[in-house]
Amino acid sequence: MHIVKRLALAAGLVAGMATAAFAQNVDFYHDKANWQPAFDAAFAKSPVPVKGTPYADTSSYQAAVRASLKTPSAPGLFTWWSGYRMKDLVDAGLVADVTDVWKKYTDAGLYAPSLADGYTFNGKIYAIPDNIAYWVVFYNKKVFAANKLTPPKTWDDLEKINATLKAANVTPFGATIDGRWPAFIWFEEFLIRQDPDLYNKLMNGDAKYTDPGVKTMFAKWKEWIDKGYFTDPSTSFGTSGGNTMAGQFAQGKLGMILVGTWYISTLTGAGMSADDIGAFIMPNEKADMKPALIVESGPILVSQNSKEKADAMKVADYWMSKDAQQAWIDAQDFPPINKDVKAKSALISDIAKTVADGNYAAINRFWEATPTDIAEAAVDEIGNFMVHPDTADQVEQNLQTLADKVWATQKK
Amino acid sequence: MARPRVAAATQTDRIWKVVLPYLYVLPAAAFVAAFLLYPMVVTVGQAFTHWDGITEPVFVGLQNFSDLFSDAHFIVSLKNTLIWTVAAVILPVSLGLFLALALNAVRWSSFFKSIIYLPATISAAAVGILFTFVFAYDNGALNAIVNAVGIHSQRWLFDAPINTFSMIAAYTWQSTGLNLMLFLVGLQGLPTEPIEAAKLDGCTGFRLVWRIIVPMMMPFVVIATLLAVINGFKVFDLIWVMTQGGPGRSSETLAVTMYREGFILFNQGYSAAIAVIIALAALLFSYFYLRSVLDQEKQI
Repeated sequence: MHIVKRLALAAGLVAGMATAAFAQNVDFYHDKANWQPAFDAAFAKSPVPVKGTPYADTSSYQAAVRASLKTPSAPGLFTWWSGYRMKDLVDAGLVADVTDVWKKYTDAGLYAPSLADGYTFNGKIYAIPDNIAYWVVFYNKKVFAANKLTPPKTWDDLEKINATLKAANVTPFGATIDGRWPAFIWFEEFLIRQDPDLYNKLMNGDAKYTDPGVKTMFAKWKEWIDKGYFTDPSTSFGTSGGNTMAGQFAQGKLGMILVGTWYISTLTGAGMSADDIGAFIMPNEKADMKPALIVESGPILVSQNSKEKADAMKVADYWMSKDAQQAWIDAQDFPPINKDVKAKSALISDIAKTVADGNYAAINRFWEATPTDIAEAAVDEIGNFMVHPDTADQVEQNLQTLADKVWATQKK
Repeated sequence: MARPRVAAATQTDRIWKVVLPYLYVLPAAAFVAAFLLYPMVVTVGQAFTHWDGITEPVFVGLQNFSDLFSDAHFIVSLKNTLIWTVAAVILPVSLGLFLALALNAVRWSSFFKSIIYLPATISAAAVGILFTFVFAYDNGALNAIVNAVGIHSQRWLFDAPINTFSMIAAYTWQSTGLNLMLFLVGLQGLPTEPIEAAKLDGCTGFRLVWRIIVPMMMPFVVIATLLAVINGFKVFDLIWVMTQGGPGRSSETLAVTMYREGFILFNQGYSAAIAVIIALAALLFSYFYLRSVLDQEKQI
């Protein structure tokens, strides 16, 4: 009996140790496979070891995460999308409230409280920031120098740059529907340069896709397409293998690309020297409009039902610290979001300074700013317009029909 | 004393004899039940609900099915699926049969057979990526060729319906080899007597092929056609890699629409309804096709 008791005790001890050993890892799921080494660097000093699980395909990633969130085996942490794309997870009670984690850092003045806007629902914050990206225009400095061009201050300056580059046989701007989602890039940009209020109303169902302002926007877009200011809409963008656009940019056949700041590594990967890349923020169509730019905010969420939740909250706290953020920014060259953290490159540092000094209003990206059902179907409709620019009227009508259908069932 | 024991043993043997076959089948049956029947039943159940995958499903009866037939994207998808199914039968199967007949008795045939079969060893996703480069607008191989003969570049993957035909061409390139092999196996197994007899009667060349060899190959044609139709119905990976069903959902097939609705838009009830339609269509076709073929064989 004595021996049996001892054996049972030993077995229990071993089992306990094993459980403790396994429980120490926090699983971190994401769909950014090429960011894994940077995540590893940033989590290196985490109080609880973090095990990254990258998914190669975004849609299978979303399906896997959504299926797991109701169970204790959900990952402690996972990347997601802000705004409407995380709203259904919040509404279903599947993600943890991290307001207290934020409070510690915003009270210390290390984070701008407005950064949490896209993660805030009913006054509570449900995510920490993975990254923010400013949507700016990257230009090839050599091409600009060869054509005696400087970054534009006004819309007229921009029109002159387009005309000059086109005359020099350089395509002014990249635009594509490769991978579907890039179709919204120019839709949102033309609209905010013309009427940011209309854009915001449209995103929330308070304006119509058939409104005169939207028609004017499509007309301007068509004018640029007709003038040959854009690459062919089938140009690959790096979303499905090839990347003709980055290649053309590096070769000087394409002058400018409007995209998030995360695209810098793609451009340098295509053979472009970082020193030859410049950046500017698109000017507004009218000089008296307030400065604004599209800001994309990528969140990390904590699973409410995960058995790792308590440890995941510790990791979330660590992630917002200077140590983690400096390692993250050093690895990724993203704009710093913790005020104690320094930018890695001069290019990002300059963009961040321009945004801070210029008092730019941050406008939420189309992908997250409007309900997912609208955004997903709208990129297909807008893509149709980009391939067949004469279909603007039909596309506007289709978009509104779609919006009417979604808003009829969607809580604003 | 011995008699009851023998009787008991005999009875145990009898029970064992009845039970044993079921035990052999049990692992496979359990596997089929867990991984095929259960998901099938769950999918059929989901087809009658509105479900976003995270909240509780809401029973809506036949609404998903009635919505499908008023959904313009579903109608396009249905048309594309029919195009794919017809093309998947006509092109790879007939080309495979033609090449098998042509290569069966020529010199260097194993070299050509291997070359034609090689694409069948590549995954559809890899074929998709490869042909994305071939069909690329700016620097694609095909546009380089058409430009060389003075024709403007075409958007092979970005204009409907040309994008569907481009993808069918890629599919044909990949799947012809498999059909070729199937038909070669068939040709090599044919009895030589009827062919020799036909030759003695003066039936040669095209007539020999059409009147004697092809009818003898019918069991293989039936299988190849059935597989091609089912593959045409469920084609997904190639389209997903090459166009993601775009632009503007113009190149979606039923399988792509099912995936988009289920795993991008998370209308999982609606997606399940499409899955049910795909399964029913493939099942009904297989049943009627096989029945008609078997009936014909009985008459012969």
